[in-house]
Amino acid sequence: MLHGLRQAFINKLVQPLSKALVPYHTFDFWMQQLNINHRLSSISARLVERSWLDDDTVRLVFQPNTHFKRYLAGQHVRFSAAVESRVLERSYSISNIPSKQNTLVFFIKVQGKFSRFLAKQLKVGHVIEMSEPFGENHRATYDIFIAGGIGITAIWPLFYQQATAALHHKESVPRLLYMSNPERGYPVKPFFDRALEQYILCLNGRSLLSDHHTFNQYLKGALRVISCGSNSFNQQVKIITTQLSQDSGKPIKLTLENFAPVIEQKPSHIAQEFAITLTKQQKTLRVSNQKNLLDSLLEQGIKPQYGCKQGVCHQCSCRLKEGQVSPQRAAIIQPCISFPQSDLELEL
Amino acid sequence: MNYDALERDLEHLKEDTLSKVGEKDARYIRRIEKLCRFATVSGRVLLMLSWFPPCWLLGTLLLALGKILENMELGHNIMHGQYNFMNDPRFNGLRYEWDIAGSANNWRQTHNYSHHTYTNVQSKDHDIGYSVLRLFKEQKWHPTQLFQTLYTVPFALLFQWGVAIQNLRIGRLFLGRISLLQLYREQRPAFSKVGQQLLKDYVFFPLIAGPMFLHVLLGNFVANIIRNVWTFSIIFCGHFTKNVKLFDKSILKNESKGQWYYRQILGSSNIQGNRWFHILSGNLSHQIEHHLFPDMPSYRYPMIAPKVRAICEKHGIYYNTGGFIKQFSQVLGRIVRYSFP
Repeated sequence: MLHGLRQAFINKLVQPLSKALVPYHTFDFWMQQLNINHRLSSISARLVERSWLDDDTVRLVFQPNTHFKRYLAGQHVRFSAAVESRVLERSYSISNIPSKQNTLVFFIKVQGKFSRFLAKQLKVGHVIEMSEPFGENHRATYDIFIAGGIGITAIWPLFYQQATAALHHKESVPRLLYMSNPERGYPVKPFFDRALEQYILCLNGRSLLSDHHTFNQYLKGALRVISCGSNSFNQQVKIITTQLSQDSGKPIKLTLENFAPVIEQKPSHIAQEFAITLTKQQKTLRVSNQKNLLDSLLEQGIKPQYGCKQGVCHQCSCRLKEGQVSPQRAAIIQPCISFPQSDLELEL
Repeated sequence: MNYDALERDLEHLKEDTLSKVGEKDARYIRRIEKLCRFATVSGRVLLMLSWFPPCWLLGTLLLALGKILENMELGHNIMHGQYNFMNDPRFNGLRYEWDIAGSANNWRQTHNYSHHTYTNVQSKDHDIGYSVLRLFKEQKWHPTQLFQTLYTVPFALLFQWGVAIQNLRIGRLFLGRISLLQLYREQRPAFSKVGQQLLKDYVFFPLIAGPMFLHVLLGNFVANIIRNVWTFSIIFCGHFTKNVKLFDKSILKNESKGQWYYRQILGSSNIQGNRWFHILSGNLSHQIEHHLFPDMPSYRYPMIAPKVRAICEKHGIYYNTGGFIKQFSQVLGRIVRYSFP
């Protein structure tokens, strides 16, 4: 009752009044200037801890603001920050499971402009913009979890959640195959829960992927497998599991999660504008072929569902009813990596 | 006039300049934002301390400075999409809402679309005298315009309200075609914006000042007036100086890009001044460059101005520029001259 009244007071009076008196961009400007972990209506997070695990892998712990509600194991968030002239965005998997402290842990491999910014420039105590959590609600259970390199970040919370539940209910505990280059080591290993250590195998990914026979031994008896790694790693896993399914006559249900962009599409050199019709919303807009469809929609105030903005999570996928985009492999397209090549009709 | 050659030269300049847009432009607009927000907050704080008279004066001036920077260099230019390349929601042209009575959505329609597409085209560009002043001989004369020199003063003082009602087609109300309630329902977001501005400057901030209520109210009022007069001056100097041309609607038929560029140059005029003058005008002192390339970051206008001038000279086009006093006296001359038939 009290909570409802408080919420109504905030929604009906405080928010419209504050919006009238201080527009969001002014409010957020001051919050940024004063390094306060609050925004008028969006999520921000304070970096509370940073530790280097090896030369290029860093563990970051963030404390999100009160707008961040709850997330599920295996979900991701998108960080955004001004790096040089532009505000860049990048998605990362949350590597811990939801807890009362509501802190978010990320294991990040430093390999691009944004991850370098997070790992080296963002100071502990500083606040950064963050998105709502997004990504699949993994209800399915798996017999084998496979992580390729830094793919462990997305796999670990899923494995941990299922494995601890299995131990608690005295059921069969799944296995985690953490595959990496042994010369580089297994940087995330020290953070594994000791109770689960016997169910985790740290393996040489490079040699194992080329030695199908040995790899098959680890997959023996598995019916449901999930793999998270680079696109090429996952494709290799797919080949091996398909072969094993055929040989054993027992189909293996394989779920793949790519942690790196599948493809980075470049816009056409010649700037053009096209009309895009959103059939569900019955709207027609003009969009440039120099921007991906999702950015064009967002810029014009249309807010379709979206997640990683890197062509990985498929949250923004929709049906292309008419027209051509680049790249186009099927009728379902990912607007975040698609550029218009003609007038379009989208089921949105 | 070889319009195709003019188009080629200007397109080349545009491409060359846009290829350089990046970190410097982002740094510039972020600095302007910082200056604007700090000036506004300092102004409001000083106004609350205005039992000490110099605080009132300084507070009012700082608030006026904040409002001028916010409207001219931030609001106007961000809403043109000049800084969309930054991918920052705070500088996104379609999301920005500014500190003025007119709503951003109405401005994007009347200014970004109507004014910039139909610059100085009679009966298409409603910025020509804002349906209040007669500024060209081609405009129909009305006896009330005999007094336009006088009513230009309140028009300039209350300029933001003129802009706020520009897209409401308020004439329908006086002609009895629509009731006030119908107009309110039709234009609810615009009325809501007006209410928000009044609430902020004339209720909320005076109230939280407690015993300084009247001082803050007066300070806010004067700051708004200073901003109004400044914006009026810059906008009128940008389009209504002596040698600016007015165009008939027929010019729009089959108008090529080169001809469009030509019309933009002849329909605009620049104001010369120092760096701070340009910043305070939102770089609209480079009105010609702005009209040629409205979505180019304003930071680039001073850099391309000599090149645009050289292109104009090459093609024999008059490049209309002059100091503020010269340009403003020409505007006043027009207002007085065309108050008569």
